[in-house]
Amino acid sequence: MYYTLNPPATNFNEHLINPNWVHLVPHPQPSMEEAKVDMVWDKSSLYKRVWGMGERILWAEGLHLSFGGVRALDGVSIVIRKGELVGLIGPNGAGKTSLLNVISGIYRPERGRVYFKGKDITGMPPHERVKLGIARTFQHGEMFHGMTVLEAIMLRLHPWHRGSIIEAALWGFRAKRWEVEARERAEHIIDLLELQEYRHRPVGSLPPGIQKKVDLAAALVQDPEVILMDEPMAGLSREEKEDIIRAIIEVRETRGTTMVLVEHDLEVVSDICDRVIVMDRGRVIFDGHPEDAVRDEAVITAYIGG
Amino acid sequence: MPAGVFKETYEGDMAFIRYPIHKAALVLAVIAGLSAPLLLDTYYLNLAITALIFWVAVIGLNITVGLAGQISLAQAALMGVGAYTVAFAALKLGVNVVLALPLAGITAMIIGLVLSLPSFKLKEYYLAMASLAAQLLLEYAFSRIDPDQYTPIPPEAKRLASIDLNEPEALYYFTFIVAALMALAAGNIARSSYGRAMKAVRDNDVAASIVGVNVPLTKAIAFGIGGFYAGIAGGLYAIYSVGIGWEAFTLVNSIELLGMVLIGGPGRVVWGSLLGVLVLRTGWTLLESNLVPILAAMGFSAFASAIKYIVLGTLITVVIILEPEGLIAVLRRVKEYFRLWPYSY
Repeated sequence: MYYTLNPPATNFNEHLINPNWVHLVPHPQPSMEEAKVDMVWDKSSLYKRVWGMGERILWAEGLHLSFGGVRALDGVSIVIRKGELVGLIGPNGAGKTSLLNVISGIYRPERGRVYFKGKDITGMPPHERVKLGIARTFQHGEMFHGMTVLEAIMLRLHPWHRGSIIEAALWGFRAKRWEVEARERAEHIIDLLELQEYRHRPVGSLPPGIQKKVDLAAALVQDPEVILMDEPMAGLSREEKEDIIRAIIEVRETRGTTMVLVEHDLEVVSDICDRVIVMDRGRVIFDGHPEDAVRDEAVITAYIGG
Repeated sequence: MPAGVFKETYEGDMAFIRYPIHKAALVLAVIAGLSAPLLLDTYYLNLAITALIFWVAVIGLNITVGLAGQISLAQAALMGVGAYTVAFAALKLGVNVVLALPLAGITAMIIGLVLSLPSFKLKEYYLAMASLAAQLLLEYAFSRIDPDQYTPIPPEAKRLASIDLNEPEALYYFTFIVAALMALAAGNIARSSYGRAMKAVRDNDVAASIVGVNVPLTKAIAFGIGGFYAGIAGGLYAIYSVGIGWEAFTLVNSIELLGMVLIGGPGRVVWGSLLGVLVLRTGWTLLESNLVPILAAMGFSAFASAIKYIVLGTLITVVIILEPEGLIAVLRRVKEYFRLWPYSY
């Protein structure tokens, strides 16, 4: 039996800080027996035991964002804990991608704050967030279609590039060494995700499944603490999806990276995610275990329409 | 990669000269470049010098437009900034032109950095309009500081120790070395992390910022480098000329430079730029010297003066439609054909 719909907050004062935070009501901690049962019965995820107990790594409070008259985010608060794989789902236009864009810094919220590891990053430009350890993959894997796979992966190391443009122009010792190091790191990830044969191919010429994998590889080369994945499985065939899922799980098991997965496919989400956040019309309508999500009335209404 | 070539280090795999054919091409190019003054007469030598000068300017524009995707219609004006810097440094301050050359680059770079400011907010056509405004403003400034359209470059400023840049041979070697160094530096920038960042900004600047590229900084760098190259090219142009007038740095010249980038190969910084210059500048000059007298003899003399722009416009349109990657892509296909020969795959 799963013990709760809502992630039990370790910090019981959270609801006092933000009274609007309705979905994070204080909840009794599971007893040891319950927790054990949980671990015994659900072996599908190694990280299940972390659920609701790990320290929070990325959280947002009361985000508001609107485009003209459309309210993309209407008081969204979420908490991502260390080591979790969180599914972020919802019908089209629910505000999932807007939320990711706020977290990665493309949009600035009208109200609300975003925190990463205790630091307020609301006003920070996107490239600095990357340096802190928030990586992101794209909905369309071929964002830089003209680049080769190797270039697309090495590009992601640019935030850590030291050395001026003059050094780069003269191709001095430091520039050369950096380039070789970047290549080594890129090759390591290429090995991990088995992309060797595509190394020098332009990203745009690859099949969509491989493009998504390249995108994941490119995010991984940044050695992030959190990866935000925007629909990594959209438009893929079943086999390609399985391939990506395998890659995601492998990365989790080997690196323990925290992941946020925007996804339409409820089946995929309930198979691999520890927790699911359901959004609808810019609000969080459900936050809890995936198997409870499909039984939740608000979720059913949002998906089927009521 | 051709058969039989193996690299054991990443450094070797990412080097400029990887295959025997690269080495052969480099040796041939250096020999051809250095022996040119012995083989060519003064007319063709001057043509070669102009080609080298414009190569430098187009490399700079190619970094701004082709690599970083920021349209600039002010490259000729930036060349003018460099040229006037050298001219006035030589004329008013008595500085040697060779010493004034880096100064020309830096002055134009600063103006280029200022031109990058609109690019933080504007894109594509709007950015083109902003750079157009800059071009016209600079043109106006030139017309104020140089109302006679003629600023002489004192010949004595072109002598440094035993080198006399008034002689075409010495000037050729000087230009050749400067252009070669600038081309090498541009190639290095294009393959460095900065080059990749610029390509990312070109392809999708929002995505570029998400992957961790500092987009405004990258745009500023692209404009700054473009300006620096334009300044050096303008400085070389001033050294090459007896005197300069601002009619050499007008909007039409800017568009011509942009045409060279588009025809040669946007994003193919070194060789694409060279190809663009050879086709649009050198090729055109050779054609014009033969074509215009014929047209004039046929009674189309009014047509003859306009033919340049008719051909230029048609050529750019045709190339953009048929070969958006520029003529260098044709060369690459030819290379690929011979690499795979005798098979077609």
